[in-house]
Amino acid sequence: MMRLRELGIKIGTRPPGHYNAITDVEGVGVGQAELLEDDLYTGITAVVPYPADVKKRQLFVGRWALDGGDGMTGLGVAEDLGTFSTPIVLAPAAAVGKIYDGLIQYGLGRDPGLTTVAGWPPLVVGIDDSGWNPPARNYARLGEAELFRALQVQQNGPVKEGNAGVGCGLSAFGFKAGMGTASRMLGTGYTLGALVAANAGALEGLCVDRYPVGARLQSQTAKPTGPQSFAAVLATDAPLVPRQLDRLSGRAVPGLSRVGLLDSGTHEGLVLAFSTTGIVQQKGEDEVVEKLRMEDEAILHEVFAAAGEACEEAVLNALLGAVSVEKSGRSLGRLPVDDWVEDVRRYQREKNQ
Amino acid sequence: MNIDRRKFLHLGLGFAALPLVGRGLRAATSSPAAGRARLRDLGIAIGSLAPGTYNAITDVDGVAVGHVTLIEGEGMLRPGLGPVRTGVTAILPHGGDLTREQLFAADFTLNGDGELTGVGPIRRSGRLGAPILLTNTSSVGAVYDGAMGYMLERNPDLFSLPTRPEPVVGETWADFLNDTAGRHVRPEHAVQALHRARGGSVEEGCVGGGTGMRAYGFKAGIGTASRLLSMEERSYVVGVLVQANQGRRGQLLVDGVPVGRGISDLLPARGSTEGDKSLLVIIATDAPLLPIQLQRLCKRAALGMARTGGISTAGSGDLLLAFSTGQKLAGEAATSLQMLSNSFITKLYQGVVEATEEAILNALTAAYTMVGRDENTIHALPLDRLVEIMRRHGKIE
Repeated sequence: MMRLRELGIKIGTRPPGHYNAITDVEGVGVGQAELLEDDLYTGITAVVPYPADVKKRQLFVGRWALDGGDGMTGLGVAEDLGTFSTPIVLAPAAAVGKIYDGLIQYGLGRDPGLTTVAGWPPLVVGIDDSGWNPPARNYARLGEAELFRALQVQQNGPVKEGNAGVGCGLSAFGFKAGMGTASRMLGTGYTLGALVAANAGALEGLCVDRYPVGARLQSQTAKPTGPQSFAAVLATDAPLVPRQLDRLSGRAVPGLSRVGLLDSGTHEGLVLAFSTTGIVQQKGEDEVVEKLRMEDEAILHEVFAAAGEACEEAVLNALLGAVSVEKSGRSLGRLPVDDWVEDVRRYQREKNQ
Repeated sequence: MNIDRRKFLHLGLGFAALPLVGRGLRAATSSPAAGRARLRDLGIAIGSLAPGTYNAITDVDGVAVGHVTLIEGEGMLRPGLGPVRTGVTAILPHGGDLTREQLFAADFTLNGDGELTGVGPIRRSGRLGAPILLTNTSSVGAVYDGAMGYMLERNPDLFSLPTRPEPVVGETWADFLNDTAGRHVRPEHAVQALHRARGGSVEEGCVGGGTGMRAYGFKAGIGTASRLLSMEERSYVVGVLVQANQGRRGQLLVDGVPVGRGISDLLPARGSTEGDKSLLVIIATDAPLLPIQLQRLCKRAALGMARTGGISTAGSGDLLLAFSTGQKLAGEAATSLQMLSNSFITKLYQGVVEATEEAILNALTAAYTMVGRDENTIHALPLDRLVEIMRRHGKIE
């Protein structure tokens, strides 16, 4: 297990935050829970957008979906109001109902009225991990217990990558992959963080800072099989409104494409972007006119570029953070590193001269 | 069917004498007669197009509807224990394996403060490959879970499909009568509703997902209607099913008549004041439509709601879904398609507007007065007064 920067390789020009993780954005926490059984290697990942002791808070959210298909619950509110107020939970698709039901329980605990400012509707992103886990087994076994374990999070801590949470059942480029994260500090004083569940990509397309690493490894691995999908969550403390967040979500795409995760073989992909500045900041009641802040268009390019950089690095962290799996007679190896690290370092040195 | 006033009054009184709520957990489908009346029984017909045989979404060949109604307990709310006034309504778009023979579909969000799961794959592929289920807000997860189990059992290769469908589950808020926190609809109720789905006449009012619902300050719930459409030598049918939980009393219009302003008493008693509420609309047609045309149909259903007086409020989850049974998509390499000419689609629009309006009104005329948690009461639309007002406005002879 390692991270890209530990290999002396950087992506882009902007500096990462303290943990180089989505949790560098103030207030954001990531909780993950795993379920390991004979034929299951699965789990869920929760992005908790603000501390649990905040009773009411409504944050703005934007989306980008491959093929226009948002594989998520809570879509009506996210799309039409541009808001959400719950943890964003990434879960195996077969378990979405049970996770949703658990989040209803969680939301009822926050506000029995199940309102859009205090924990409703649940925002569950279903991820197809059937390449490793039989859906019927996920369906039978995964649920509320894992959800409530995952929701025990600490804000602003490190994030486990690779075989963690929903990442347990995921692979990318024919290698074991899973969860990856990265962050960028912006010149404007804001922070942007990305968390990616990586489950797509063809080996020949794998690039590190545009260097064609996959082409070097072609002969070494099996073809990727199973579903080809990804989900990414972007968080920022830059005050952005929903239309800007839709655009920000779309700017994950160049980064995801540069690394090769998003290519012509990708079936499903969803990017959610939220701003931690919101509408309701611990107030009891709505006011007739809410006070908001919105960043000017002029700084957006900075946030957009950071989104691409952070997503690109997060995917590589998902690969490097993973460990090989052997289970029930099946195995999936991790990305070998020695074959290309020196080449990429040299390439980056030459590029930067 | 028209019935004379004497017969109607007899019907009305007979049902008024029934106990307000059932006793014991009642998870049974009763006969269509369980509803009080249908709008047309009162001599009120909406629009100019003729309805199908059952004047129901099931007039679209292959469409089946099943309810599980959960009514249990009385008295003060004890969260987790009851009283229970909810259920689940299942709509099966055709009798075959939906996941392997998918249908063109589209959705439309009129106001998004609601939930309709499973629209992601519908938007991605333009196809519906899952059953549709309607319930109350806190039961969406359980119903989704039940439907997922049902789909996995029928098609273990569900996750290998090129367009992997997800259960379509919609909700409205039943909290005025129902113990929301109890999450009383469980996955097995969703499966039971799917197993009960049948063609033919559809039970309306306080049934299934509509059990705890109200519209325009009257008891409402599930309603349905259909319209026959003839286009030169061809004929099609469009059917609508609603879960009606929207609108305030003063807004209610029946065939353009301000009935809500004419009945200012019988407001929901006890409990909180009228809140913003929601409408779910499911549209089925056998006309061969592409997804982009189906989305246009969805928008017309919003007009049907508007004709009953609703304005789609800030807190509404007014969510609409349309599908066409006109062609089944079985994954062949190159499917020959049919597409209804856009120059004939206006007639279908008219059918959707009329059927949506009538379906909402059927939910009102079928539903009976219900007492729920904390003895909160939602009164039924008094049919005798409805008829009286309509007569005064010259809508009934």
